[in-house]
Amino acid sequence: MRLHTIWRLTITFTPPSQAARRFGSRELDFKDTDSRFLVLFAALLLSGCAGQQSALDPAGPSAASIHLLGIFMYVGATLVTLLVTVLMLWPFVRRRERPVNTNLFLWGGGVVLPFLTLMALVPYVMSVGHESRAATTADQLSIDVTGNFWWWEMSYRRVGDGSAVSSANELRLPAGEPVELLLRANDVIHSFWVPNLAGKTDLIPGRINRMVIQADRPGIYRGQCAEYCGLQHSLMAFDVVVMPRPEFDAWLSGLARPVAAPDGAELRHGRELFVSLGCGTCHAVRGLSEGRLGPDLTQIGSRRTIAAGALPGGVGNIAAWIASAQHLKPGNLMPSYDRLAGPELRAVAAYMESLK
Amino acid sequence: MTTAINTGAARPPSELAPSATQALYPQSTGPDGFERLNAAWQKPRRFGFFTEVNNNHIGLLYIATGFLFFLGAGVLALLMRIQLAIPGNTFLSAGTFNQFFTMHGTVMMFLFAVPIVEAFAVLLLPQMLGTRDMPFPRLSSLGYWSYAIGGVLVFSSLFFRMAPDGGWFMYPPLTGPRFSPGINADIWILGLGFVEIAAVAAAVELIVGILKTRAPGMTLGKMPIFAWYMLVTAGMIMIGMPAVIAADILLELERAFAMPFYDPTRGGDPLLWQHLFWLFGHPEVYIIFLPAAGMVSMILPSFARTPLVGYVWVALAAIAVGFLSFGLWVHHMYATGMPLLSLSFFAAASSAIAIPMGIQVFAWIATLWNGKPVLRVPMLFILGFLFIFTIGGLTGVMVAAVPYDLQVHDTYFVVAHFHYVLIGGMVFPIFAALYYWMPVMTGRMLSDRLGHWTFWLMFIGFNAAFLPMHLTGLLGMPRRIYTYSADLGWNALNLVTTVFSFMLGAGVLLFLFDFIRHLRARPETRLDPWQAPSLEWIAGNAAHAFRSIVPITSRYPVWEQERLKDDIVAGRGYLPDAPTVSREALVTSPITAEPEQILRMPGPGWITFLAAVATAICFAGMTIKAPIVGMAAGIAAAGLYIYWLWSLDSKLPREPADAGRGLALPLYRNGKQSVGWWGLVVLLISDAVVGASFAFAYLFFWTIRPAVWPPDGSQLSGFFDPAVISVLVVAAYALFEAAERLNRRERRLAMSVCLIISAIVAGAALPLGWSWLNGLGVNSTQHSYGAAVWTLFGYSALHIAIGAAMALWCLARVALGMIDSWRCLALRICLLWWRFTAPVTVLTLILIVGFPYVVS
Amino acid sequence: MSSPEIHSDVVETGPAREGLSRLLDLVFGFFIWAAHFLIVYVGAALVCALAPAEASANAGLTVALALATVAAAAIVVLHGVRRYRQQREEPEQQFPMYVTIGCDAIALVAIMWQLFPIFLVPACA
Repeated sequence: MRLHTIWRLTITFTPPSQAARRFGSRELDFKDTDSRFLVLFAALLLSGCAGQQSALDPAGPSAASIHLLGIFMYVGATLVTLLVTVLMLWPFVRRRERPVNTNLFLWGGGVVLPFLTLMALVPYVMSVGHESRAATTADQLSIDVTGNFWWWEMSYRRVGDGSAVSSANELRLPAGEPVELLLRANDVIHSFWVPNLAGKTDLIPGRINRMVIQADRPGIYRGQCAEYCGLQHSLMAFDVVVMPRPEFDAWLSGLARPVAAPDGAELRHGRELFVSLGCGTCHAVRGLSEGRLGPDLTQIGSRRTIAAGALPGGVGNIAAWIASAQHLKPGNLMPSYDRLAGPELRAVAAYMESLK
Repeated sequence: MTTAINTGAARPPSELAPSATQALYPQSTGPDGFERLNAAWQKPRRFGFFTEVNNNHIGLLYIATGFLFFLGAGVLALLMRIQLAIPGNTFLSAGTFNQFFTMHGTVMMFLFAVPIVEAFAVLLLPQMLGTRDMPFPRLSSLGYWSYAIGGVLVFSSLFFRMAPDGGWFMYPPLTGPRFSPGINADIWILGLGFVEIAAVAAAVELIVGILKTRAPGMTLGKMPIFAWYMLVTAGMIMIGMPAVIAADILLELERAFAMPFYDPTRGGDPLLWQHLFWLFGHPEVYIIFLPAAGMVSMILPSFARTPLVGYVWVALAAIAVGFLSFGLWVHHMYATGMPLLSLSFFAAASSAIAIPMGIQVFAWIATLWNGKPVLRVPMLFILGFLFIFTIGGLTGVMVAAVPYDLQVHDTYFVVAHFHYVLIGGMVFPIFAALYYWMPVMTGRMLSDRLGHWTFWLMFIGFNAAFLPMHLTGLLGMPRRIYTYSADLGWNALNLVTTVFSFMLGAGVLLFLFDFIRHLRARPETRLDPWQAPSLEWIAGNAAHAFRSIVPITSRYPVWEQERLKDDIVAGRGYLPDAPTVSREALVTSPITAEPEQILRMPGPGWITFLAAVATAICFAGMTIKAPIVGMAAGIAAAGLYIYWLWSLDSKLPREPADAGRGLALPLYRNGKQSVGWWGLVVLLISDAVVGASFAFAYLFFWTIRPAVWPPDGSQLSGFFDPAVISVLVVAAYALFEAAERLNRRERRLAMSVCLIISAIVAGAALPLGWSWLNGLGVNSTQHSYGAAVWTLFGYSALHIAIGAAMALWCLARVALGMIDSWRCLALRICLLWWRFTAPVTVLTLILIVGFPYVVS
Repeated sequence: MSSPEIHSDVVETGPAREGLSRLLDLVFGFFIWAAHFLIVYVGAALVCALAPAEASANAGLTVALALATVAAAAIVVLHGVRRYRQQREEPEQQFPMYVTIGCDAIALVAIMWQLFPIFLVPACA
């Protein structure tokens, strides 16, 4: 790949504000080979850090303050490592003839150096991270997140009337506002973690843990369960969609409404099958069924991934999941509906995919 | 005959014979004495493998077994890395992967890391301290065989696909009866039970050995720095292990008897497990690190050709780490939603511990600067240790910060961190120790050339495998996942980690190859390749280590004491002979190492091996739900233990015996100076921590529902019943005190009466307690409150029952003439048990009865 | 047979003060550290669990924790100074003395270190 192409690709991943901060306002001269390599190296480093599930690519104030703290610590740690390495190798390289001032090592290196470093670091550390415990008022958004065996339930409390609207495996947030999350677990300990936005908080059965999260940059991020919770802990992720507040409000209203009537024979057939196969016993679809044992499927068609991040969305994967859930995520609590005829499977999958 | 060197302390007064010639069993410094000494310490020709109890034998077995578990757990890691090399891999299924990472962690932490550092101490410490063996050789042997058999049982569960799969720290409710119904978790608890026996046994041995059996003149300030590290480590085991023992007991009670400690639907709390586990778990990693640091502190001065800089500093740093490590445990629980202030106490302490750690690092560096260091293979591994451990310690300061940890907790960043501190801080020093002390262990040297290759393969392999993991974690990869999606940016990093982990494995394999190859050379008996300063290098290969025990006057005796080796070999020290052909060593005072007693120690025998096997079959039978086998083995084990205990406190002459150098010492101590007394003190401290953990559980449950207490509807207790129980227990104790005092005046009849009544009174307290609790309606399975109360009752009841049995035990021994005013150590030790049991029982009753009143 | 002499552990055969209590005195500072840590941690946890909402309780908590810290620090300093004065003249006690005052010094730093969270972190967040 040409260097220029790599540069172009990396610069698109790196948010412009970050790029400007790091490189300053210096004009980049592509005829200058040395600076090109240096910039390329830095860009590759940064591009490696960007991501939809990356703590090094903050999209919210909490993650940003943690990332800044991290940078200070990485620099400090590198310096100390270099110091210790040089000091320990020196006697093998150069022989000293004079006796050593052992007090300098013991008091200086052993006491003063760590003491001073920590005296600076500890107050800084203790000032970071309070926003996740901030108080919120009743007119701010509050979402209940409940962990189950390998899927997430989200329930949005509507400001004003206090009613709750459910969804699953996808968290939508309005940009630029602190949102209260109340975290519960129905079975074992799980952990809620969206690295681009904030640190993690455990979901512990028998307790309600509260955290406040804020996303500033619209986009789609990924969160994943971060406490080992059994067989399919690896496949318990969720998407986080951050949108401006007006869009969020519109979306939430849509989520609360009963689903539209299906349009077309196949979709109608699919809806009938949804009911006759008993899907509604476990899965809620607004206006159609009330099951709570499995994820709410009211807007399954518009989710980027399904089965808690196990598969990308889309009608093909929905069909695959229905027919062979146990093969794709062995041990999860949905059986494989592998006796369905081809047309029936297509119909159900198409209906689910139409629920947007 | 030479006179004793004046070591500057007062000579022992009245109890000793007025002149050496009247002492029993004169010691000879001639070849006949040497012959008897050899005969006493001879390893049995047949079955010596199972029956020998000397620390040289047990130590080598321990190291070899630990290393085998290291290899086994390492293979598991490589298999896991194959699975993670590419996204969406299907090399291992989810269930298998989960068993593998659980076993990798469990085996590495419990069956390799702690045992192998204990093993080096068992092997080397007695010689470093100038003595001949650990003070309780059969206890060492029991500890080893329990560990070996239990470890094999746990590891073999992999081959039956029944290995535990809840992660090495096995958090409930996932590992509770509802979500882990199989016996996998029970196998984990079982295996740990054995390791816990071995660890507590090792703690007893180490504390008593270091404090009471050093060579005369080796004051606390002159003992090798490794002894300081091991003393602190043993103290940490003594306090820390019981917390996880208690947690395990509660988990097994929940799994087997439905007592809801960790089940939130019945008043329990998963966080109770986390507190108890990490209260052990954090000190555990320092239990692993400190002995390794101690070994570094011994090896480094040897290669720098100069004494360790800042001996007092380093001892202080070790003590500081030992204590402060108990104030860090909540840093494993930052994400649990506890109040930020609580978390911050631990964050502050977790960063502060960097100071004593840094002191050690700079002491080592200063030693290198002060000397003319030579870059041999052990020194290479130490440099590798310094580099890797420093990085690990620095990422440790990072994760000590609450907000930062909330991002990297449970991700590959923290996996990288703890592998840096564990592999850097323990595995590299262990390899340094293996290359360094191999001449002591096998009488041969490992290959220098292959050693360099091993080091570089391991060093480059490790760093290239684990350094990228920091980034992988920050890019969002959680730990304990068996696969990952291809579009998250983790693919290249995982592949690199996998490839270089095989390089690390290759280094270990090369070491193994070198080790096997080196066994073909002829062993040399007087190999001292490093001209090291400490005593294990001038010990011979025989089990008795030293022909005679010469007083020590320096921290670096081989460097600074003239003619030391000649004096030892010529028999000019203490105990150059074994006149009764029994194994003997010296007991000395804890701080200034004045000789106090000649300690007769047991020789080879079958009892410890058989007891370990029987115990193993008993626990295994219970675990796999074969109760008949389990109970039969349990009865056999009980019989063996009783037989063993009965043989203790054997009859020894009253008169002092010749100890050599014109000194006569008693062969028997019946009070606070005896090693048996000290051993029970250590055991009782551990016991107290178990009880305190149960009390903590009770109080913890209250903090969950403080409003209504008792929360399960049982009645508040009246004061009459518990008062009666207290009176009975205190009376039983008082009668035991009376019996001991009567014994001093040889009033055997009165004493026997006291013992009988003590046993009866103690026995009566038990059914009374049972009916009292039942009458209040306290139910052990409905609610965590009841479970906690019944556990506290069970704990006290067990102690009272043992106390009653001890009363009968002493009664029998009195009747058989085995206890009198002189030979009364057994009686005093049983009394010490009661001095513990009675107050603990009363305190437990006060808690159960009084606490509900106080809070309502 | 009865004997006028009591054969027991009454007679100390080594220099005085070699028993368990003397050994524990060497690390006295850390026992105070441990007690302080427990009091501070358990005290804060209990207050926050039982009465989290009241601001006055929180301010009172901070003051109480700070006072406990200063008290523990004072105990440790007094102990160290006292042992130093008792033992600095005795040549045999030099090493135990260094260990004692060293432990007191480190414990002092560790105790005072907790003032960071006490003053910098809001009481029951």
